Order: sequence, then C-alpha cells, then structure tokens
Amino acid sequence: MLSVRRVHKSYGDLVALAGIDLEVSAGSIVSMLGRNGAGKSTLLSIIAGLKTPDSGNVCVAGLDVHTNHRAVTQMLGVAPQETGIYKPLTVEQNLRFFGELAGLSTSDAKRRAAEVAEQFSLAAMNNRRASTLSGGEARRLHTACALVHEPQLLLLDEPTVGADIETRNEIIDTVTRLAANGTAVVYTTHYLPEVERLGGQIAIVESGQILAIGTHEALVNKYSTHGLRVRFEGDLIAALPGVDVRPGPSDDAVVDLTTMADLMNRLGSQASQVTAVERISADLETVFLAVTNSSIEDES
Amino acid sequence: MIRSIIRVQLRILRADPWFLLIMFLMPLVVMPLLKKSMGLALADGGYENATGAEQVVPGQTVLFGFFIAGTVGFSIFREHGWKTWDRLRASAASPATLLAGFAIPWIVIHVIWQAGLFIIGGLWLGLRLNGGSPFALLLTLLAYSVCLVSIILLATTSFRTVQQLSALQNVGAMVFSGLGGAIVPVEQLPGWAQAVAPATPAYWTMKAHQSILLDGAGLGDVLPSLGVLFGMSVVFIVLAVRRFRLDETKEFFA
Repeated sequence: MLSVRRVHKSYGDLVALAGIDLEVSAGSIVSMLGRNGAGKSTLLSIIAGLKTPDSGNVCVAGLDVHTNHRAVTQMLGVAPQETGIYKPLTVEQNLRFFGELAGLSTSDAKRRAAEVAEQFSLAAMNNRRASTLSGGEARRLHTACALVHEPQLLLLDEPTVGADIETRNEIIDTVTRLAANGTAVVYTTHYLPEVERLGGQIAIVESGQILAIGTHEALVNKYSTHGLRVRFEGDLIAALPGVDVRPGPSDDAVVDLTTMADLMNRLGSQASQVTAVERISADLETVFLAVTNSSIEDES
Repeated sequence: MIRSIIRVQLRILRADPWFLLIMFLMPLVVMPLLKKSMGLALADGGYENATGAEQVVPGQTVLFGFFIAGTVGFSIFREHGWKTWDRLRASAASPATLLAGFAIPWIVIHVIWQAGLFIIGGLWLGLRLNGGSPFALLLTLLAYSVCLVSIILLATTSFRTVQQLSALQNVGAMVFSGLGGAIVPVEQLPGWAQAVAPATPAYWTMKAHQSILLDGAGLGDVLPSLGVLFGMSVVFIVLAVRRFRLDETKEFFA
C-alpha cells in the first residue's frame, strides 16, 4: 500500500530525513517511535504530500504521491500532530465537511459522519460546537475527521497527545479494528505502552533514519540487553574477571550475568561493595535505549 | 467540493455575524453626518440639486468595503491558526478550488452588503437613481467587490502574518478610498492626489457611481470604468495565483 524509497529531506543544514525506506502493506500497522525532532512528522508530511522530499519517492497503491496528489489524497486519511478542527462548527458539520472534502457525496458524508461519530463516542455531541468540546473530545474529533472517507492508508501523527486514558483506548481500539479490516496505518507516538498495544511493526526513528524495524518480539529478541545493572564501589571489571562488563547509561555498569546470586558468588568478599543491583528486563524501552543509545522522555 | 468549502465559510460566518453587522451599521452612522457637507461639495462641482447622498452613500460603501473584503484574507489566515490548513492541503481540493472556495462567498456577501447600504441610502437618505441604470449600478457593485477581493487575495498570498494583512486593510481603506474620491469628491482633492487617483479601484468605482447617480448614466456610459475594475481584478488574481504557495507558513494571531 505504501512504499517509501530513499527519501531525503533537509532544512538548510539540518537533515530531517536521511534516506528513509519503508514499506507498509494493507492491513498492517507501523508505529514510529522516536524522540522529538527525530523526523517522524516530516516523514508523515511527505507521505501525505504536504512536504516535498529533496530526493527519493513515495508511492501509495503504486501512485507517486507528488505527481498524482489528487488521486492519492482520496486514499489517504491524515490527522496531523496539532488538533485541526473548525471550532465554530458542530461535531457533525466537521465530520461531514472533511468527508465531502475527501470526495464523498453529501449523503455518503452524512452517513459516514454518523458512523464515525459512533465509533469515537461522539454521537451524543453531534450538535455541539467543537469549541465546547474538552481537549480529549476535540482530539477524538480531530482523529475521526481523518477516517470519514474510509481511507486505505491512515497517517496518524501522535494522535493521543493530550488525550485522557479513555480517549487513548478508543483511538487505539479503532486503529487496530481498522487495520484488521484492511487499512494500512502509520502511527507516530512517544508512548511505549501504546506501541505495544497496537502490535504490528515498530520502527525506531532517530536523526532522520529508521534504525530498527520489526515486530515487538523480534526487536526485543534482537536488541534487548539481558543482564544486571550494577552500582559498585571500586573496579568492577577487575572484580569480575572473565565477565563482560560495560558502562551503563548512568553511573553504573551492565554485567552479562543473569542472576544476582551468580553476581554475589563471583564477587565473593567484594559483594559488600555493591550499592545497587537491578535486573534488566527485556522490554521496548530497553530496545529503544539500546538502538538509539539515548534516553526517551517517557510522557506516559 | 467547492460547494462544501463555501458552505463551511458561510456557517462560520453565521456562527459569528457580529463583524458583518457592525460593518453594516458603521457606514450608516457616518453617512448622515457627512451628507449635508457632501451636498455642498457636489453643488460646488456643478450639481446644485444634489442632496449629498450621491457622494456619501457610494463613498462610505467604497471605504468600508475594504474592511469587508479583508475578511477573505482573514479567513485564509484563520485556517492556519485553527491548524485546518494542512487538512485542506491534504484533501483532494486543488489550489484553485481552495482560493475560489474562500473568495466566492465573500464576493457575494460584499455585493449584498453594498446593495443593502444603497437600499437604506435610498429609503433613509433620499438617494435616487435620477434616471441612471439599476443594472449598471449592480454591475458596478459587483466589479468593485471582485476587484477588492482580488486585491486581498494577492495580499494574503504575499503576506506572512495576519498583522501585515490587517495593516493593509486599515491603511489601504483610508489611502485608496481617500485618493479615489470616496471620502470627498476627487475634484476637491489637491492636484497631486487627482493625478494619482486613477491608480485606485475606488476612483473608477466612484466615477461609475457618480455617472449613474448624478448624470443618469446607462451601462454603456460606465463600461470603461467597469472595464478598468475587471481588468485590475484579472491582474491581481493572476498575480495571486502565481504567488499562491500551499505550503507557505502563515502566522495567525500568536
């Protein structure tokens, strides 16, 4: 459904995308994980045809986004990062307008607006002006507007920013349901638990590149560091001959041992110099840190 | 699709019609204040039987018309403020459809607004056609609306911030209308101002209005003025379309 080939984009000296390749098939979800400024939103803007790449190309259903913009836009549903709705209009009027803008007839837009409002628990507030919605409700409407015309490819840029737990759950449930029905989804976020819930492929983006991509299980198996994180008063490398000891992310070390008992046995009389020890779990955050060698701001 | 964009523009206007209402009332406040002195000014120009309504009604309509037309630009800048511009760009609507979707409702509103002021000018201030062609008058209203909206479109595609547009709207209204003979008849202006007056749409609009209202002119008589107004509009629209870049960042009120 979506094919991104060697896409480069720079703003002056700043390289936003440095040769991105990405394939997304119908019915699959690709969650893009990365820090602010990693290039996620730029990539989505290029896929949506809102920005032009310096080089490379983006095709949706075999059509180049930039040379067949009009045909492609009817297949695309885009919810940009910032909430974009018409505040003086009602919920229903917003939904119908974006449906019509995507090419639906008046009657189809009306029918679909009602369906999407139901999906996003907005039906009860159909006649309310968007200016009276809470932040979470506005966010739901913003996301729902991208779905009215039943796009084949859905681009969601941090759809749950500022949303409450209920809204997050609804958005995630809707996205997974759409994917199950054949919609291809590209979803950017900072929230690791969301990525785990969405399933599908996870792409870790850093400095305009996809550093790793795969399923949650595959990434954990490939990148997660197993071992112990140890704080030690003294020379830990000398105290553990024959054991792989590497500097940790803070003032500690990562030791390639699986149990604390094994660590204590090997240290013997020097065990008392251990001030803290923690088992490193095989989770997405560990993968992210291992891949990007940096810290992620956990906003969850 | 263009109908959907127009419908949304009208719905947004209906949600907050106060600006339009105030802009309808303001000229009606000013017109009676200036009517007598404008009657004297017209008499000085050889129209002894003029009441002053022949100058003050079209003149104030031309002056305040600039503010109404400015709303086209504000509605485009507002899309940036509401973060809906990217959604419009990501839609199947072409740039021409978008521009037309914003411009058409405001041209229609502008014509209706002008016509409303002329009708009240007739009922309240005694404005009469004096044998002039109502069709020519209607075409003059249309030509002025199209010309102003096209100027605002060009300004909107050229400016980066809404403050720049606001400055043009305020200064442009006073300068263009003043030089064009909307505030006082052109004949009363200093020589240098009379020399530059034909560069403004207000001049050609006032010239057409006064031909119809004071000289009883028909369509044929005002065609040269209408031709200049529509010609200016074409130039502004062509420049606006050439300047129009969908991906240009525009700043609404911070």
